[in-house]
Amino acid sequence: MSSHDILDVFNVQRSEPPKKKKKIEPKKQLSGINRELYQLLGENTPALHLKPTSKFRKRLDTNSKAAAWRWVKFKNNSRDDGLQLSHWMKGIGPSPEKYQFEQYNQKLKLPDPDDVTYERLIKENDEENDWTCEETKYLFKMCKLYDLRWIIINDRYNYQGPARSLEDLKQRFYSVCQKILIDENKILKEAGILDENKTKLIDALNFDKSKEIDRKKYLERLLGRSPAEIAEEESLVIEARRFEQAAQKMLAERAALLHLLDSPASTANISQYSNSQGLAQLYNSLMFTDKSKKRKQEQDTAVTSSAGMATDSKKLNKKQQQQQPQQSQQQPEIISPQQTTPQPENPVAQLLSKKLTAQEEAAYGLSYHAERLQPGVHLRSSKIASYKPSVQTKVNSTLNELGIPNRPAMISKKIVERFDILTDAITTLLETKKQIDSIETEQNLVWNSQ
Amino acid sequence: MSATTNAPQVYGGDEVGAVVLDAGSFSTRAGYAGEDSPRYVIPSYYGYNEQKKGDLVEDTALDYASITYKTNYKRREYTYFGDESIHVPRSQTQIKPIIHDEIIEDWDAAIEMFDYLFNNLNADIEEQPVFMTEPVWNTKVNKLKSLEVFLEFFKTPGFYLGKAPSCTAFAAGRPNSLIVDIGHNVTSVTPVLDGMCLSKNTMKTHYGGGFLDAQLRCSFMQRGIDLIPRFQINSRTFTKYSLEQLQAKQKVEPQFQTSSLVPENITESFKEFENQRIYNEMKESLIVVPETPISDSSKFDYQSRYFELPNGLQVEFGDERYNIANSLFEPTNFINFWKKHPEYHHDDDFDWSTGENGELDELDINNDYVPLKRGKKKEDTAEYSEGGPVASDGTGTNNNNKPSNSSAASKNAKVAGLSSLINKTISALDVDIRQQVAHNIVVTGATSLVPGLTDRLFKDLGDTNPGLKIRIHASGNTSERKYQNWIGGSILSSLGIFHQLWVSKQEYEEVGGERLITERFR
Ligand SMILES: Nc1ncnc2c1ncn2[C@@H]1O[C@H](COP(=O)(O)OP(=O)(O)OP(=O)(O)O)[C@@H](O)[C@H]1O
Ligand SMILES: [Mg+2]
Repeated sequence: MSSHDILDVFNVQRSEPPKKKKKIEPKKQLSGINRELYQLLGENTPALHLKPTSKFRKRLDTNSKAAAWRWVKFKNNSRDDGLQLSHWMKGIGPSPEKYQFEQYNQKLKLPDPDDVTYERLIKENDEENDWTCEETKYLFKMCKLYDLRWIIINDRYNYQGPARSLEDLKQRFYSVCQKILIDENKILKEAGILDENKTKLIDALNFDKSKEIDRKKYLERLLGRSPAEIAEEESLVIEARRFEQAAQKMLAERAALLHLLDSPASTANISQYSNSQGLAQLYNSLMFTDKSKKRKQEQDTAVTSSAGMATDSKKLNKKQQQQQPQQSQQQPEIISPQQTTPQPENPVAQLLSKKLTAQEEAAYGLSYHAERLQPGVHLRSSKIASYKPSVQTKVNSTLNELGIPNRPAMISKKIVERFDILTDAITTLLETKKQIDSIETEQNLVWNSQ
Repeated sequence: MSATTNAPQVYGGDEVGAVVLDAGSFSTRAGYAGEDSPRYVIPSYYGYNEQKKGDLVEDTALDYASITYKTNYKRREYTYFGDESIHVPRSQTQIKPIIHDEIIEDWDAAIEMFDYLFNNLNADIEEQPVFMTEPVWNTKVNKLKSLEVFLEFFKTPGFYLGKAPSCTAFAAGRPNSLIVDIGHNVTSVTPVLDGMCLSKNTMKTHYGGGFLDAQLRCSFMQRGIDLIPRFQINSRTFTKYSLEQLQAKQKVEPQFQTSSLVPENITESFKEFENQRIYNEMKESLIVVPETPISDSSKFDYQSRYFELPNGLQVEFGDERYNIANSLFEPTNFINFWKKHPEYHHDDDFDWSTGENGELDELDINNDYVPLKRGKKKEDTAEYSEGGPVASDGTGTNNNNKPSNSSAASKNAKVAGLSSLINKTISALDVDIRQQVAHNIVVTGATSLVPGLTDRLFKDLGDTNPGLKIRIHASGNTSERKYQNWIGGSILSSLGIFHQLWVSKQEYEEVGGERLITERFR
């Protein structure tokens, strides 16, 4: 089964007859199931054809010699005890001097306060005077051991002394570091080789314990929210975002408006059109684009007409069908004036043509209307003005607010007239209010943004 | 063993043929580093033949001073290890535990067990380093003893004690996580940060697989069924014992014949050990964790199911299927039951209602009164007798919790179920890591395989922690879940960068055990 058969089965129209020769590439003759599959693609040839470059599994290379693997002892220089373990090594050469994983043995470089520096730098005017030299040294040892992972240091911190919080430990560490660094800096300054980074580092070591505690409290509160609070917050965020978007949109609109009010600045160079030659050229090019557009349209219609006979005839039918109702619509228009124009011979008409007083008219319930009426009977309620649904709901809600039913109960002529006036007024007022609101927000926005 | 030394591979592995041991209170796992599952999983129990011991003229097996492991060590003749020999019925043979609460209690037997494993693994132990897992609450004495045993007695070139939760974190690929290990003796919750355990925040209870065993035993006692282990049975005919018959107080007698091959004087402990295999099967196939907590009053829809005992009795289980599994989350229900019915308490049973130090009478388990406003934070404010923070003697981190405090707290303590244990752990953590840890909850241990457990856990935790994004990671692979500690150890000890951490004999002699266990085994 070829692609044509399938396309025929699904009744898919082909825009052009398939070209048989072109599709078959001379280079690659597909065979068996591949060819069948390829044919199923039809004309949807893949945009990119990737030739598999590697076989899924490499064939075993039996000719080359197997690599030698040896179980050899090695020494890891990260250790001080010279422990020798064994591992597998490829090749027969001597084992390398350095163990390949030694390079990952990295340690942080931390200041190391000894007794002397402690006495000299930290002991006097020590704000945290409940710390001893011993404990400070212990703290630094822990920092080194656990690579400044504070939470773990706090977990393992075990010194017979006052209880310390995580923030206590941090503060102590940073303040001692700062003191040591300031001292080092002094020496460097005297020697005349001051490092910019080091001075920056000293400032960075200012640790504010109370701020940190506050931060954690806030975070704790944030995590301790109830589901209702979370939902409320989310909805607020969404609403705020909506406001922001509306404001942005309005500002953009405003900017566009202002832009329109400005004289249009031409973007291109107009000097070439300043002489008559240039103008003629411009005229020609415009003409050309115009013509080409027209031609395109013609082509489009030509294409549709050249399509098969069946569609053409269908279209024709449709056209005729469309024309018929148009005619039937036109007919009553022609007929109705004839119907409504009173016959001069009719006595009632004669009576009517006699002028009646306003009182008499009211009593008889007679009225004259300027607009042409539809033939037949209608209810007066259908004459009540109606608006777009969006406006109508607003009008209705205003009426509700005022305590007036959406439709008058007694539909007399007068009531309907008055009702129309009322709804008209309501829509006008609503529109005005909307305008004022938008102008106000605009104003606020402009003021705020200034 | 395929690491090349020329080019480091992506995972940085470099195998040195390390032996990895993971000793749990139910089973001990052993194998080679770099492999994806342990080669041997044997019970952490051993058979002890009193009769044979009595007959011995001279018993020199434990005279360590005169023994070198490689040349003249021999296991005692009256002890039995490993599945193929421990399950053989022998007269006057006790089954004794080697490990309790993941801590090795019987070192003589442990050495024999390790010898058994090394022999089976064909390990040349003087050439191959040993990696062993340890619980966070491992004691200093025990750590020193393991160093001594492995470095001085077995003479391994290197030895390392890795914290079990750290290993699990490695196996799960989550260096910052909360490891929930539901094993046999212990259920523990450990926060892990950068692969290191936070010992002050670790919590544990005893409500694990063993707790379920005790309840299963109890439900047979209630039905008046005597459990007969499989080895005693020769032939049987199937008899049904439905829930209706139970309610009608109808007695159903099983139809079976006992085997004549069984020797006399089979000990109770051996029978119980064999019965444990029945419980094990029941835990695997019968019990289910219900989706929501079960309060005593509410009835819920359940499906009953039959379970066939070795003696042919087919017993129908109804709401017990759910109640028993539910007790991992709400242990109080069963503890109250046992308090009321001490006759259902097995002699060997652990006293479940107490922690290690709580007193039964003064436990105020029934006190459910919680002020309304704080109702939601119930778990946070309550104190537990079980599930107190553990502090290992080794690192000695207990300086913040005064001992006097904890005994006072245990007086009106509350027993913690799994969810509240986790909640308590999370809320005690530093706020900065709480979110991350809650997002990486790793559930492991074989008892966590009870169906519905992780779903229930997820629901409970989500309900109580609306501000946190909870995610639970539990391996879908059964053997991975069971042996995750071992797998983590296997990964860790096959990494190239790990090899600087082994404690060698020389170091042990120079630096001393005391310092090594605090600075090396972190
Ligand atoms: N598929 C299963 N479903 C439920 N429970 C199981 C399953 N397989 C084993 N168990 C139970 O899990 C417990 C053993 O768990 P595990 O192997 O994690 O314990 P362990 O590590 O030896 O003990 P611990 O961690 O307490 O020291 C036993 O009580 C056993 O009966
Ligand atoms: Mg375990």
